[in-house]
Amino acid sequence: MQANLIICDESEGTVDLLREGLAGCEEVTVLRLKPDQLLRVEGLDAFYISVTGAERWGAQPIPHKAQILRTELDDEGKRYPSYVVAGGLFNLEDSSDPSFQLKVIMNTVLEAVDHFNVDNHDAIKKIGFWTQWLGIERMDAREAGEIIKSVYEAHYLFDES
Amino acid sequence: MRFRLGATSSGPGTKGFWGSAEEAATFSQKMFKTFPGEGPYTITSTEVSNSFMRSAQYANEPGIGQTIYVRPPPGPVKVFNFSPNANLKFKF
Repeated sequence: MQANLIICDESEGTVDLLREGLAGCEEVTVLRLKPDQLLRVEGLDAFYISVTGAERWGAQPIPHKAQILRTELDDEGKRYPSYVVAGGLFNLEDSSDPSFQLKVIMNTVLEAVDHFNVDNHDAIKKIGFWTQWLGIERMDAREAGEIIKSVYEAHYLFDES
Repeated sequence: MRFRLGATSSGPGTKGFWGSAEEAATFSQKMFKTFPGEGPYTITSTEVSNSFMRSAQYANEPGIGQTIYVRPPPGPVKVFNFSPNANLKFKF
């Protein structure tokens, strides 16, 4: 099952460049939204955040891995999307090149979602990302779009073979 | 001294700290934008012994800095009013 990805950013310029890089990859949508608005997108099953950001849901510091954790109702009974995908942790000796980090993050997220969906009826079909949790603000947004497209297509091509 | 964001700390388990208040502030800005209704995002710090730090796990979080993950420290925790450095500027 191919997951649909939604990537959001507040800047129109960044959104345009991401869309250029992702041209032809219809399963990945780029929206001009604030990150808190992303969490309210209809049908969003999960959202991505760093390991430290997902501490409250029990994320563990495991480099080069993404973890899928169930969210809980907050004090006011509101709920975020049902799952949080926590990842984006690197060893100190790893390259700090944002392109390398983006590839690793996207690969680990897609792998984690695949494994999760095999074992769960409550499949994750739509995942939201804010550009700043992916480090896209530190790189050319068109290149970031191309990397996401390349990782996405390579992942599902390999998955189907 | 290590710094972390107080509002993200709930329950037992490993806690992430940063080596500087500036890195903790960068993280707080991202958290504030993602979960604006969940503040206040105070920054806390703690001092622990070198022996305690030997059990810590060091990692790099893109765009923020070096993160140090430890079990909840046993020592006293100092809570700052958002930033210990009055010269830090925040843009939201």
